Amino acid sequence: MFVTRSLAFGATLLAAAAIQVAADPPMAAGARDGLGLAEAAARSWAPDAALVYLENDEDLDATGRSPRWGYLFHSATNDRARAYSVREGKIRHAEDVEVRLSAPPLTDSWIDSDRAFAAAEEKVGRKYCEALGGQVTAMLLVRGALHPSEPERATWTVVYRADGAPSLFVLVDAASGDVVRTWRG
Amino acid sequence: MGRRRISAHLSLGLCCLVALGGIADRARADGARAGEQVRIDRVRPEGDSPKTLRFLEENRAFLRGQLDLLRVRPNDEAGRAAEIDPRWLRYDALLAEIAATPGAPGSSDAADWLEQLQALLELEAELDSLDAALDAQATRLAEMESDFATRAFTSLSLLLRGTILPDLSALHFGAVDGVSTRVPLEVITRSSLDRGGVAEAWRELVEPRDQVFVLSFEDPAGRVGAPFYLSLSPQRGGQNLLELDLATLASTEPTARLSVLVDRGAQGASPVR
Repeated sequence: MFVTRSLAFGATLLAAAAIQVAADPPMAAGARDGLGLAEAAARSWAPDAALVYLENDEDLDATGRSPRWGYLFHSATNDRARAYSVREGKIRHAEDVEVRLSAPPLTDSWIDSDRAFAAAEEKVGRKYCEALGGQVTAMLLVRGALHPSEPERATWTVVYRADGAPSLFVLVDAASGDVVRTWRG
Repeated sequence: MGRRRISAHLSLGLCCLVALGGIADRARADGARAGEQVRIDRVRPEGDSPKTLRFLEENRAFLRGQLDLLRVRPNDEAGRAAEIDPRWLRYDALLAEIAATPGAPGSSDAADWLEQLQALLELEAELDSLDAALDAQATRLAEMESDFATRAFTSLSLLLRGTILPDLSALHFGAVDGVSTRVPLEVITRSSLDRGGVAEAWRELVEPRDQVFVLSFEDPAGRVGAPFYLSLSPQRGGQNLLELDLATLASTEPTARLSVLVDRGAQGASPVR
């Protein structure tokens, strides 16, 4: 009787542990965490590969981190682009991208996604979410496109969405961490 | 002469093969990292392809439009002349006044002053150019150091072992989503393998990720046989050695092993030294 109960108890514990393991959320990371691996792969693809764009490939958490990030590289020699999607220290997907995005290469001096997100939240993001029940849906880093006065500077764009309301875009200077522009659309 | 040259080539080739055999043996002796069994399928394995860069995909027109704007955006500041420091304008006027004043003290030295001023300006310009050269050099050195510290190439070599069947004349190898390379199976390779050597048939830089490579063989008539699909995970920054035992190809369970010879900065950006 005692042995049977012990076995049953042990089995219950094991089942609970298994459920716990299965329920563990994927490890979120900053955009910089997967960059080294993506760069290593990109250099195998093309020695002159340069990072031109990145965005979150899975949902962002409350600190601006995501389990999976996508990195887009461009080779000027081949005039081709290739994307790498990195999750938990592994390249989960790689593909040639046909998009002709003529963005200049991102220099190394950009803040990580959590700092950019904190700046956006502080400025308007939090208020937007509280007032409209919105949430952050995307973060992207690009250079040469969106900065209002100095287009050569790299910017993080934090995108918030709420049902029944225009989306909120918050532009953060990727070097200084200052919010330089917000707009709804 | 011809025979001697052929003999030299054969010797060199055999030396290379023996050396490669040594490399493979070293890899095998490398404990836990050596000789991982590689999965080989006759049907292409299906892998999941999670979506990437969805925002870019959905908003590419907008982003491209912004980048186009960058090219044609007028800049109000461009081309506008800046105010000239009035002190600079005064120098010429002062010198002209001195030169034009007969008998004024120092007027006879005006030409000398002008000369000295000119020399000082030249010296300053030279110092500026030296400063600029030093800055450029420092930038280059920093770039080289960063490049050296973080650049760890990932390569894959296909090594052959065992006897090549007589009805095979070449092999084709490459990533399943990349370019396949045809490698002729030369006489020297055959004879070396017959003697128990190892031959490197293919070597390329590869991406450090789970991926499938495809291997097939060609007969003397140029017909390419059914492919073998090899699932590999080349290690980042390592010289990955894929060793294929040709003797097992005819069997129902062909075998191949993947070893990593050099593990440079496998995790993160540890410097290559």
